[in-house]
Amino acid sequence: MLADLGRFSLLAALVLALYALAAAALGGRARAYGVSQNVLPKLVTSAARALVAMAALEALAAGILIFALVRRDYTFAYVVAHVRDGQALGYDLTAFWSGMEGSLLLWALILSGYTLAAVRSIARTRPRLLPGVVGVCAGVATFFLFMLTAVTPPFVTAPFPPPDGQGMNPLLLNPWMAIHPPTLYLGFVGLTIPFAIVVASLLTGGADEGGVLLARRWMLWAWYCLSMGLMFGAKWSYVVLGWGGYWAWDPVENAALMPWLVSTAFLHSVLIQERRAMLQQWTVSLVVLAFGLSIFGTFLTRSGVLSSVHSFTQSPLGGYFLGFLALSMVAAFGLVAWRWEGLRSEHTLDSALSRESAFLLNNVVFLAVAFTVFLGTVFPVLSEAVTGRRMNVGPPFFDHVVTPLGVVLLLLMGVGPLLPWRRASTASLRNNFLAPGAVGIILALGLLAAGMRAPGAVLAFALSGFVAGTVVLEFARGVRVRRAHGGEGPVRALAALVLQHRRRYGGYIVHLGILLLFCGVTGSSVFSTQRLVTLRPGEAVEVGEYRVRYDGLRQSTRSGTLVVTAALRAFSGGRDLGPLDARRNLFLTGQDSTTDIGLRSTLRDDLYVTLVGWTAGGDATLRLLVNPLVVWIWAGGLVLTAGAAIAMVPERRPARVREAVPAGAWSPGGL
Amino acid sequence: MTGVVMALLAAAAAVWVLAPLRAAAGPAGSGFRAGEQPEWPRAARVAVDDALRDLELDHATGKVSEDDYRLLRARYEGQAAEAGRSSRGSPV
Repeated sequence: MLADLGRFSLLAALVLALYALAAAALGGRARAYGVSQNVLPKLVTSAARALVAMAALEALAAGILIFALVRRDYTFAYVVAHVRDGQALGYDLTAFWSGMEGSLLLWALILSGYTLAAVRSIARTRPRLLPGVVGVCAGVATFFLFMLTAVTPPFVTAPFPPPDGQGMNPLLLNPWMAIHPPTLYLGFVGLTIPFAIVVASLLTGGADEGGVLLARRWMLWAWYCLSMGLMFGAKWSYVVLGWGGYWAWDPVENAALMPWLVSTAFLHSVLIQERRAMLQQWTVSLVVLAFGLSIFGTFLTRSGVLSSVHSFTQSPLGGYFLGFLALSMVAAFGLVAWRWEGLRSEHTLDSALSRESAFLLNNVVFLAVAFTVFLGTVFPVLSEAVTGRRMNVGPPFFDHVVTPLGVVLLLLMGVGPLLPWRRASTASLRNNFLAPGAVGIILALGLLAAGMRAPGAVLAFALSGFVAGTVVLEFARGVRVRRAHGGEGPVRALAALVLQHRRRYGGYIVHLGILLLFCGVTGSSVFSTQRLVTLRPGEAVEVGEYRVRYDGLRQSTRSGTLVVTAALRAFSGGRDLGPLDARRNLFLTGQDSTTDIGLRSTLRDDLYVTLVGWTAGGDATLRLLVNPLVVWIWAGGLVLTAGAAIAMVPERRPARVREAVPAGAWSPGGL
Repeated sequence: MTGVVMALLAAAAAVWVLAPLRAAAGPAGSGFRAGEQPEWPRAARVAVDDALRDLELDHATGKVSEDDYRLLRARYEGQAAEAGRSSRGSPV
């Protein structure tokens, strides 16, 4: 009965999505179709109501699937594939999005949540855009609901229910993996709303500043979710996979990185549009591209066209996703082309030494990185299509191309905020660059004097010092101005400065977060030390400045799992740092095994130990790494969160004034 | 039983979705709340206020030349006045 109800809910939701699409299209073009103007708002309201009902039915379907998972109802094929007796209840819940069908249902559900929020907000602020936004969101929902009803239905029943399920892939049984996919989905799906706003703006005559500013708020949220999703994925990779790294240029990681890069470019270019009324064509194109890449990323993850450690298996979804991607990109870029002249700016760049030039260059580099990642990711498919042989480019390609571009971006992150709009004078350049430049140079000299010889690392840290100097300088100048004008104390002036210029100073705090991340990546990439050793009980090994003693093996069983533990103890300069156990979990029901790493983290470095193997005699083979500055990466994520939160806080609103609308005027509501 | 639940859900959805189309003709019965001004002029005003504050800060910290400052200030003040006029009652 429940499976039938779930199937019905999704089918009814699909019918409602199609109705919303048609009603919004008709409502938005009422005049063109000769429909009475009085009918227009009714149709759009009806379409928006259809989206509310669609969301309710999707929530019902999701509730049914979650109920079946928690009850371990093995009459559902999805439950059999992702739950087993003995699996922790929390992971029964996360099984909702660990499979293809459940993840698509979550996608549709998140899209509905976003759609309702966007419709509510846009109905209040830009009712003109409502038909377009409702139509685009309904169109995207139609595609996902079609997949859920016709291609990968989640409510398939098992003809002969087994007594126990297969359970989730053990690698996914980790708290970081529990939050990584939904956070990424929040980002991926969130890109639909700015896309819908921009398309609606173009349909109604051109992406005016208001439409793009609305899109920016949604883009900032999606960007933040993508950032956190990437961060959670990196953390999972670091603590679960046991290879000692956090980023491997895996196709699924790249799938999330590409829209992140493009949305970052948008968040910078929109500043130029706001201040100089320039780059409108470029800015709307970035929104369309970011949405396209979010669908492309979903295609990569679900088509099985590229192998990845955490993609879904081979499936028939690829063709549908490619078709939808092609259709939506042709339509959206066609719309941009149609409005191209109207989007043209009257202004041009006045000087290469201006803030807008720095932002434009930053955009070009972001796009170059995104294109590099795209090319490297799809290269196996392209090479197979052209030569018949599948060739992978691998991490060296990405590292060689992306690293210099990353350094250029780091430089621009420092240069941009210091340059004035339109044109920089020699005096302003000297005045603005002297202090941060000195910080960078002094840091470089200090590192060289301390014995650092890797030129790339010295350059990266020196540039990081320069950028940190620019951020501090920007805060200091702002505080000084406030104190000079208002006579406030330094703390009060700082708080007022940040609160009154939330986007700007939130952005600078985000820059600090990125800076920490960059330093962490540089330190752990350039200065990582690794040893692979086999030890007898009582023997010790030196790695970096640490000594690790192996005290023997322990074995235990835990809910169908054989746990083998290498008992280790870490020392540093004769100081006992305590136990540092590394484990392997062997699942008795299958061939799978997982790793619990031994990890000791400090601000300076991580001591990271993996149990690779062991002998019957009790010898253990260990991989030991010292990864400098890895904690800075996770700290960067926290700082980025703080900055993004400040930038996302809504502006202060003036007191609401209710005034009567002249007869005949229409205003939104009643959803 | 399942069929009854499905029929009820379908009927409820249909009534909810089609209700605005069945309402009496005219703006008052259109399903949109009449008498409530769209908030865009206020949102535009907030955006212009923000832009003006940012411009003042840029000017005070030497990021904008005197000419550009005057030009941009005039532009933003014009936008603020337009938003003010819109919020005083003209339909969007």
